[in-house]
Amino acid sequence: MNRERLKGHLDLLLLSVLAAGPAHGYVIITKLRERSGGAFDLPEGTVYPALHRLQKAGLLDSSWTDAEGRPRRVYALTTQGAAALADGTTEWRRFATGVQAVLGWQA
Amino acid sequence: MAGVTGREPGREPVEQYLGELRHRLRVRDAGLILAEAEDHLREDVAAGRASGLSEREAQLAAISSFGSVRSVLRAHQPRWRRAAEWLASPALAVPKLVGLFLVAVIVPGQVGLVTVLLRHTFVPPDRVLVSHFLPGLVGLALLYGSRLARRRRARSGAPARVARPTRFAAGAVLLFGAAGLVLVGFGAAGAIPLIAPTTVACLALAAGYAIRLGTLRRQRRAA
Repeated sequence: MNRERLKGHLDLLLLSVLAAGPAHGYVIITKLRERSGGAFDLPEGTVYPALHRLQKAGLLDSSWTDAEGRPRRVYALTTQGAAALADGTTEWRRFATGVQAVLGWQA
Repeated sequence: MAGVTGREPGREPVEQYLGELRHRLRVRDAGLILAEAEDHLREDVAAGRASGLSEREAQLAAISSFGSVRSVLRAHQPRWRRAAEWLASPALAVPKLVGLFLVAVIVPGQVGLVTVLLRHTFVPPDRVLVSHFLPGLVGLALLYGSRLARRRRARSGAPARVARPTRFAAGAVLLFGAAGLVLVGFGAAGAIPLIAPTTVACLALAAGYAIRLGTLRRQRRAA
């Protein structure tokens, strides 16, 4: 899939993955790839700035824990993030339904 | 090796990759970003080992999935910072300098012309349009072209070309002279009062580029 197009939807996808519960970066990225059937294949290191941006916007919260002697940052959805996810999902469904209707009509 | 520009014997690939990232990552919270990157890479290496890869294969696969140092740096840097770094880099200094010179000298003249056009709604003669807009457009094209060339070279993984400071200085003087002649030749009257201060600023920038070029050449020779 076109990477630039994917980047436009990355925030919503990350919020969606974290709706299942708190997780650290590696797990979030792995789930993102698995749930997309391998279609979303961004360089993993470029996903972290998006997580940081979501945290700055108050949609995610993070805390540091210890994992086998290494510091590990765990992200969790905030109430504001859950609301943004619900709004984003509704908007996306409306958009996808519209596109599908047009494409279906063309076919 | 994917994602690492130079090989250092005796250091494991992940350590080497993180070392390069540590050296080049100049943002706030760099320590936290590196800790997070290391945790990710080590976890991915463990997953690779569990799937039957050797330690080295697992490390290389983890680095490859994480992305090149360049792509990670770009993702963490704000856009203005990338633009500032591009401007400060001595690569393609001559077209950048001439482009800046033309744009800086011409833009105030263009603003004046557009204001007059909006107020009086008249169509000026072609010669006025050419004298006010063409040098500025040439400047923008030079800046854009040098940015594209830099990106293409960086994508190919080749190191930036480092010109000899003396050649660069001679080229800059020649091109400044040509740009000045073009401006005067086109009669960019509104812009002429700004030529002197802009030339001084661009010459100072040119001196900065020449010093950096000299330093880079010495560093490359030593390496």
